[in-house]
Parts: sequence; C-alpha cells; structure tokens
Amino acid sequence: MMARRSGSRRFSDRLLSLAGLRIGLWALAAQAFLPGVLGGDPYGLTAYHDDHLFYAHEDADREAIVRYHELPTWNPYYCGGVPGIANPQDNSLAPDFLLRILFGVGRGRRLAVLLFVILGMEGLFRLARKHDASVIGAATAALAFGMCGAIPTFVRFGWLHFLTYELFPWIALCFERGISKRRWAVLGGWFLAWVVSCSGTYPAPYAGLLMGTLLLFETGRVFVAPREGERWFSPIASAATMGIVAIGLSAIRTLPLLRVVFGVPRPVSEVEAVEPLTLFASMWSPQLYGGMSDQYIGLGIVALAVLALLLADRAGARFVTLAFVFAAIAVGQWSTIAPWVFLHKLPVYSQLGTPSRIAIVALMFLALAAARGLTKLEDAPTWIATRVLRLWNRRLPIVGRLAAGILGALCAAYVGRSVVEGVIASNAIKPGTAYVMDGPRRYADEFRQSRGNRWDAQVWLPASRGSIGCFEETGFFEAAGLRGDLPEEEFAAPGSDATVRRVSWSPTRIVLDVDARSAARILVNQNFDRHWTSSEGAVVMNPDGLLAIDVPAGRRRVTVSFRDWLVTIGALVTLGTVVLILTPLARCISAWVARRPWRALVAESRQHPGPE
Amino acid sequence: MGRVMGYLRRLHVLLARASAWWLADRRPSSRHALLLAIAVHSLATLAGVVAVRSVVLPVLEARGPAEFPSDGTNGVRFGLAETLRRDIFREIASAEPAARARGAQSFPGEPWSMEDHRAAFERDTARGIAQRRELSLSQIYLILDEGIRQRWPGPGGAPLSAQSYPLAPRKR
Repeated sequence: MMARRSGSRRFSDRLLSLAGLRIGLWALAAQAFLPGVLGGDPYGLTAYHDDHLFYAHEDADREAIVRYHELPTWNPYYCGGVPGIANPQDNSLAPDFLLRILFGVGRGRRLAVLLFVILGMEGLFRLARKHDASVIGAATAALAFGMCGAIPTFVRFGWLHFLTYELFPWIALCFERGISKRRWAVLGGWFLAWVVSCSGTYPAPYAGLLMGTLLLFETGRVFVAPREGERWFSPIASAATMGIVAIGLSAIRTLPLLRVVFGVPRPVSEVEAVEPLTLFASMWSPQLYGGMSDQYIGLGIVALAVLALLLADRAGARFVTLAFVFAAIAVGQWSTIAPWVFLHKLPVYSQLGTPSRIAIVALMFLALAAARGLTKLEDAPTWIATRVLRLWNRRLPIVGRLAAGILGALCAAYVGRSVVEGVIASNAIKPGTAYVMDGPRRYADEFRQSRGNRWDAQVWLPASRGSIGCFEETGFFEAAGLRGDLPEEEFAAPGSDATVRRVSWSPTRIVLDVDARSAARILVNQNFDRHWTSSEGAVVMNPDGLLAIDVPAGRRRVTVSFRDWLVTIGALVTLGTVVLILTPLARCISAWVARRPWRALVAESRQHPGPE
Repeated sequence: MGRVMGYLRRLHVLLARASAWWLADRRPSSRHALLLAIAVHSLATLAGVVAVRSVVLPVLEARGPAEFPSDGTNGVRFGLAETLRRDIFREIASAEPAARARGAQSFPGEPWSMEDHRAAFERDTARGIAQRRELSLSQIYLILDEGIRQRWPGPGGAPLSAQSYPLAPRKR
C-alpha cells in the first residue's frame, strides 16, 4: 500500500528524489559550466552585435516599466521608434524578464542564463524519470542536455531568447502527463506561453513542431496500447488545452505580434543545408567539424543512446526515432524531399531561415535515449544476478538486490560522471572568453535622437539617446526625416507659426505646450505609426515620415500617446485566462487545506503498514 | 559459535529490512516519520537554496559602471575637457570618408547597407580610440554625438551628417 511509483525501483532512486538537492546539484553544475557568465563583471557584454541589440531592447523595455511605469508598447530608442511588445524580438512579457526588472539588464541577463540552464536540467530529469530512467541515467542526460553545445553559442551571440529551448523538456513532459491529468496540460500551456513571450522567433514555431510530433506519436500509442483511463482523443485534448492556455496567457503579446508577423514579414531567402553526417558527427566531435560545434553533446551520450537501441529498449527506440525526425528537419534543404522544404512553405515557418537551430530538440531526445541506455547499464547487475539464480530456481534475496543495485549504480555513476565531465570540458564558457566588453555608462539628460550606431546599440539609452542607425530582422518603417542634431525633439514644422515646449516625456506619452498663432503642424523626431493619438488636433505622417500633429490656432496642452488597441484586447484576454486558471486552483488549494490531508495520510499509513 | 550465528542472523534481518525500506517507495507510516520526512525535505530545500545563493551571489554583489558626473561649468563633459573631446571627435571624423567609400564599394546600389557598413567601420574606430586612450565606449560615442549636434567641423571643414539611411534590411 502507498507505493507511489509504478516504474522500476532501484537503489539510486532515493538519491535525488529531493527536489531541493537536485536544484542545488543543477546550480553547482551550472557554476562549473558557466564560470564566464556567473563570474567576473556581470555588466559586461560580448563582442557580438546581437548581444548589444538585445541588451538595448531589454534596456528600453525595462526603462519603460521601471522608470515610466508603462507597458513597453513603443521603443523610441531604436530606429527612431519601433513597436515594443509587438516586435518579434521583444521579450519584455516573458517571466524571466522579471530578473531584468529586479536586478537590471546586465545582471538580469546573467541570472536568466542560470535560470534556463537549471530549468532545462530539471525538466529533462523529470521527463526521463517519467520514462523509467534511473536517477543516475536521468541526471546524466539532464546535465548533458542542459549544458549542450548550443547553450554557449546562444550566450556568446547574445541570443538568450533561444535559451527557451531549455523549456522544451517541460513542454513534452506536461503534454504527456496532461493526457491523464488536465492540470499538467495547463502548466504546459504556461511554458508554451513563456516560449512565445520570449522573442520566440524560432523557439515558438519549433515548440509547435515538437507538440505536433509528440501528438502524432502519443495518438498512435493510445490507439495501440492505451493506459487506464485514456481515450483515443486524450492526447488531442492535452495538446488543445496547452494551446488554448498558451494563446490565452500570451494574448497580450501574440495579438499585436501576429499583426507584425503577417503585416511586415521578415525578409528571409536563406537556403541552409547541412550534411546529415556532419550534423551527426558534430554531436560527438566538435574538433572534427569546427563550424558545427553548436551541437556537441558528447560521444558518451551518443554511445548510450545507441546502447539503448541495441538492447531493444522500447522507450530508448522511441527517443532515437524522435531524434532522427528532428535531425532530418535540422539538415534543412539538403535534399529536395527534406522535411524542411515542405515546412518552409507553411505560414510562419516560411519566415524562418536557420533550420539547424532545431537540432537542439534532436539533442534532447538523444539525451533521453541515453538516459535509458545508462539505466539499462545500471540495471545489468540485478538483471544478471536474477537470471543466474533462476537457473537454480532461486530468487534474488532483497539484500542481494540492494548489493547488485549498489554495484550497478556505481558503474552508472562512473560512466555518467565521465560523460558530464566531457560535456563541461568541451562546452564550458571560460572566464574572459564571452563577456569582453565593458557595460555602458549612464549620462543623465533629456531624451534626444542621435545618429547612433547599431553595432554598439547598448550605449545609447544609458546616454539618454536614441540610435537612428539601426537594424531589425523585421522591416519596420523608418522615417527619412529623422535627425540626430536637433536642439529640440518636438518642434513646429517649417512654415508653421508656433512655439512648442516639452512638458514631460516618456516612451509612449509626450506632453507639449503649443502656442500656435495660426493652424500649425508640430513635428516629433520619431517615426510615424498609426497607433499614435493626440488629445488635440490630428496625428498625421509628415512627408518625410516623421510623426506630426496638426493643431488649430491657439494656446493648448497637447498630449501625444501611443495606444495599441490589440495590446489592450490582448491584456484583457490574458487577465481573463489568469483568472480562469487561478479560480479552480484556489478552490483546489482551499479544499485540500480543509481536508487536512496530512492527518488522513498518517491515519491511512497506520491502517496499511508496509510489508516486512 | 552459536552466538556468532545469532548475531549474523540478526544482522541479516536488519539488512533485509533496511534494504526493503530503501528499495520501497512509501509514504511516512507514523506521525514521527512524517515529521522526519518534512525535516529531511526542508533540509534538502535549504541545501538547494544555499547552493543557488553561492552561485548567484557574485552576480548580485557586483557594482555597475559609474554614472558620468553632471556637465561642469568649465566645459568638462563626460568627465573630459573640451579640447580632448574635440581632439577625439576629429579622430573619428577623419576616418569617416574612407568608411563611406568602403561602404559604397561593398554594397553598390544598396543605400541602407552602405550606411550600415560605414557604421561598422565607425564602431571599429570608436573601439580602437577607447582602448588606446583608456576611455569608455560610452564616452567616445557621446563625443561623436556632441560633435554632430554642435556641428563641429569634420574632414574638409563640413560637419558630419546627422542622418542615417532608413531601415531596409537586405535578404539574408
């Protein structure tokens, strides 16, 4: 009575059953993996310009939230003004952005790396355990996946939003558990919403692909061998719940984002093709294929995955098959019948240009297969002893089972440690190798546009300047009339007889005192966007693309505001979804507390003492 | 001998019970066991918190780059005298015609790419000056901004352009 797990019981099971110990282990492993991220000056940046771009975007978002108490719907610090939340590269509404708000962008970005790595390890550990991997097998796979070669690449390039790939094990876990328990599907929806909110240009569509593939596999399994309580539509219900929750929670971001994705497409015509053998070799030998070391997860993991396959492990075979599916997508347009060729024709996927970025999902399944392989290795002494004693019609005594379990665990731990040490040795970000530039310094001044320079985009906002020179993956509109030498950022247009004085300024709200002797046009040194509104007169686009307000004659206070109604609708949907999720949750918790289950637990345990 | 055998038998029973307990996955069977389980879980959580704290502490305790002092009355801005700032601006500005020419050469007929390429050379110049003069990159770019804003003379005596070309990302 009271047995909690239906899977196999092993000596090592208790070792990491305590979540607190596990998190401590993941944190210490992350420290060994990320000395160059968690040590040294946390305000520094890498030399690569994308790190500067994302730092600048996050700084603008944080400035809007912390200094001006506004939603970052408009970013005036870049390109003369571009959408904020609606920008596909924005991550201001992702849960990990809270770290930037609390600790600043520099330190927040470092802590976000740590958070994602730990989450990746914990997620993969739980997923592997669900598939009856031993604690040692699951921990080895979790550490290898959490520290695989893609992670240092993402950090060096500043692509922290790609670290949401570390949430993919959680998405898979929640989907699979959600087939029988709806609350897991709800949790999965939250993880999906996180991926979408975290500038998920690539991870979000790839998460959709992961869900679709798992749905196919699980639907097939439910048809062939359903478990208790499972119906043919259970996997579909789990995926649908996750999707609905994700759409609801991320509506504040998704609604304006979709307008941009379909209204201003990313100009992608890139053809990427990777030799399948190169991709495979790069998983275990970064030295052989230097350009593809992003995929390094170690020879040990590949060998253990193959072992699972050789030992006819069903779960291992399933994971290897899934790894092949995603590796086949990752090779891109290598062949005219490659899966990517067809995927690239679909909406959203047609705007993606680097299919090799999905290789990390193949690594995830490879690590899961390796967990099963190592589990088989750990189980071997017990299996052999049981079979040998059976020849004499004897059963393995419980002490023998424990002794064989200890032997197996020691062997597995030795192999697992070698695997993890190899991954750390190859992939660790060493001090002084990634963050080589000093952080930007603050200069307190009124906001002004400058000519700027997008290659060092991090410099401008702390200096109270916007950078007109810019680059965005999305072809946002930029006015030709923007200037970086104006004495005032808001002024009367040539030919207009008016004086303009700035009363207050924030990214989405500019208050001006206007004294117009006759009807006049007031110009703002920012891009026109149709979501700008004015309390007086009419917002129009000046012929040079600048934001302009036509005001009648007279003296008045004019408030120019950026209002995106899709953000407002999205916020309402998000809020409604949160309430819908929290209401039954609160009801469950209060009912659970009212039942006093701890008393029942002890009473029940007394009635059903365990076997000798 | 009989006593030794008795001890061994007891040891075996003890080991068997311990093994059965270790290999079984059971909930606590008494109030004391429940309290013990809660204590073990709390200690494990504490250990996790201590480990995470030791990892994040260096990040949390670090101090950020110093803010520039307010502009001085004696012409000092960004912590630098005007003569030095003009000198630095001249150095950046003198590299601009060559950067523009190389930009135009690399991307003929693509004005945004030309301008973007020029900016990449400007970045190299700015980083070089910052390193050579042991100044921060923010100081160098603020001086460039000041020079453009104040229309300080560039190469040939004309001020540098205060504009960039509107965004038109090329297909990758």
